[in-house]
Amino acid sequence: MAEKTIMLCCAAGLSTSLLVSKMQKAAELNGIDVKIFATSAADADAKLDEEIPDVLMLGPQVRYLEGQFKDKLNIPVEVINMQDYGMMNGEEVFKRAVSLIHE
Amino acid sequence: MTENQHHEDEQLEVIMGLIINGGNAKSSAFEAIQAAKESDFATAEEKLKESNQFLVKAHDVQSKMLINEANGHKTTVSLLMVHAQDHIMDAITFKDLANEIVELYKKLASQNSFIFNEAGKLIPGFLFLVLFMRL
Repeated sequence: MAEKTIMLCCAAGLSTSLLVSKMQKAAELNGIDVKIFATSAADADAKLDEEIPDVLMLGPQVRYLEGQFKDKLNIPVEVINMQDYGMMNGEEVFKRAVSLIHE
Repeated sequence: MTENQHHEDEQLEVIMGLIINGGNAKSSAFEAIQAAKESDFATAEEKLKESNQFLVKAHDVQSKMLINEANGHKTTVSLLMVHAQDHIMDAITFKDLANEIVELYKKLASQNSFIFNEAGKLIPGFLFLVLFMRL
């Protein structure tokens, strides 16, 4: 069982799925046992109840959902940096997610 | 880095550019509607403009791909590329509708300001008008 869970969310959960595999690699390289998964905006509520993530990272394309999630969740919620997202920089996004959990 | 890998990375960057700009255009349009809902029309207009700028950026990327294709350099069509196009189509439709919805909120606000003042109280002038019409 992984220690912490990172949840990513975007419109269809497609591009964030790509990012998940890159973040997973970064986690392995750093020797951190963590669960990372991606979901679509439509399925986000169900997954939040099911998986109880420690942090929620949003794709920049669903920036408009940030307020909604912040209102109803008491875990850190943040929009992924646009440059990191565009370059699919799993390492940077992973580091950011971990630092949000420990904040 | 092999030639192929380099090409793939470049391709991914182009696709992500489409997704991000398309997505940002939709996000800004959504925020425009939310601002209009709160009668903050200055922000609403600002956000609609911002939405347009993101769409222009996405359009530039698309145009480049079309020109490349016309010059015989075909772009590989992957599932992610199709997905990126979805994002852009969605953003264009959403932005056009957001324009209309902001206009509607403006109309609503101008009608309400005839009956209610900014604090939501009935305007005396309106009451007199109603009384006058009844007489």
